[in-house]
Amino acid sequence: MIDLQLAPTPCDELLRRGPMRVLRYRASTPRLPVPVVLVPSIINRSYVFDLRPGQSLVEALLGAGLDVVLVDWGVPAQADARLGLGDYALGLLGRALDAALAASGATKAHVLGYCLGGTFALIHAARHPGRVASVVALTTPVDLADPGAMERLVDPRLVDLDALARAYPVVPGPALWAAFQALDPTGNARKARHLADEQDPERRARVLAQERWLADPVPMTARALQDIVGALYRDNALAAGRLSLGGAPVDLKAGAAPVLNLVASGDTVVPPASSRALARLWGGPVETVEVKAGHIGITVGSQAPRFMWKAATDWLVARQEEVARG
Amino acid sequence: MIEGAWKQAAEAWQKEWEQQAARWWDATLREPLTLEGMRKALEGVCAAKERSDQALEQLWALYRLPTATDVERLHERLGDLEDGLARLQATVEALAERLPAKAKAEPKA
Repeated sequence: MIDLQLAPTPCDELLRRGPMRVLRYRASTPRLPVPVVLVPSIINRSYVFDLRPGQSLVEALLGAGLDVVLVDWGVPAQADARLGLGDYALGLLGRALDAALAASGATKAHVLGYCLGGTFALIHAARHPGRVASVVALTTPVDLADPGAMERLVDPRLVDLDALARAYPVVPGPALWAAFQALDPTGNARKARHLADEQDPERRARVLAQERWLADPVPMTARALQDIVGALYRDNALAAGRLSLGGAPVDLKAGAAPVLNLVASGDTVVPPASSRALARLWGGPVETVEVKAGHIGITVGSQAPRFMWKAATDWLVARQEEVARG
Repeated sequence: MIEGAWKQAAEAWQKEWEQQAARWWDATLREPLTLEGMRKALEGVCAAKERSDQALEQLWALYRLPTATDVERLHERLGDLEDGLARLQATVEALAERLPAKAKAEPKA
């Protein structure tokens, strides 16, 4: 059995609110002043940012001197069943930013969101432009008029979301995992074949760590699922300007922070076109960078250090200077 | 050499099988009949779960034990209380920051 040493970077807990924990990574060198808040999706575990030594975006960001804070959404219990999209993107993410700003002494933070975490980051930045210095949107679904492979999972003919919510206020993680597996039923056989052919121990460990993370599903509140599937996917409400959270509309054109939009050209979970749409929908400047990778490979693949990590790190360090200049 | 050829042929067959199976599954998942069947199965599971939850809640209430709904309501109230305290703390902190500045600005009597 290989010891994969998952989530190896030491960190301290800044805040615990409901199922969420906010963690700040320890740095061996002085930190740059503006913190970077990493926001994962609520569908998977947050350690994707710090998978294992050498396969960790957190390591790369710390190496560049950045102050790195992670939002770990945790595992919702029955008591957290009321948490919906607005609670995550505005309420909990707001508390996480408060904690990051209080710990660093800064007045603004950079937010790097992955997949739905990117959507949360954009919603928050659009609603609270004064608190976000910049956004790095990593494979972020924005315009879901064509949701790609996910179309089959979000089909209204397949799932009655209200019935699901009544029976399962918190939808079990394995059920969500099985739904994703159903999109690619021969995927596991294909991966097993590749792994059997792989002789290099480092590459084997990389693939195993990635698969371990993928097969470590998190439950999700039915309310969040209703909001995401119902509003974001079926109604395409965010792109269409119809999304309302906390009693007020979410207008992406109100977003002023500069955005680095990192798109994976081979993404089958979030179609590249869905992310590219941000350039026309966001109010502030958007720099779109396309990386030849898949939805997960862009963050933990063997080419991630050369492309995604470098693009994100360079951008965030450059924005530090801009924020300092005011 | 013959062994290598057999291995290659087996791999090619496996890849072809995987591709065919994936295409068939994709088409099947888009069939209205499949969707209808899956929806009905899911609805059945949900209805059974809902009924079992209700029965369990009634049994709990019979023994005057707090139900999941009671705990959720309590949690919701605690959450509201926590938010209220956080807002209060932020207000107090903001006031504390403003106080010295105001004291400096106002001339002493």
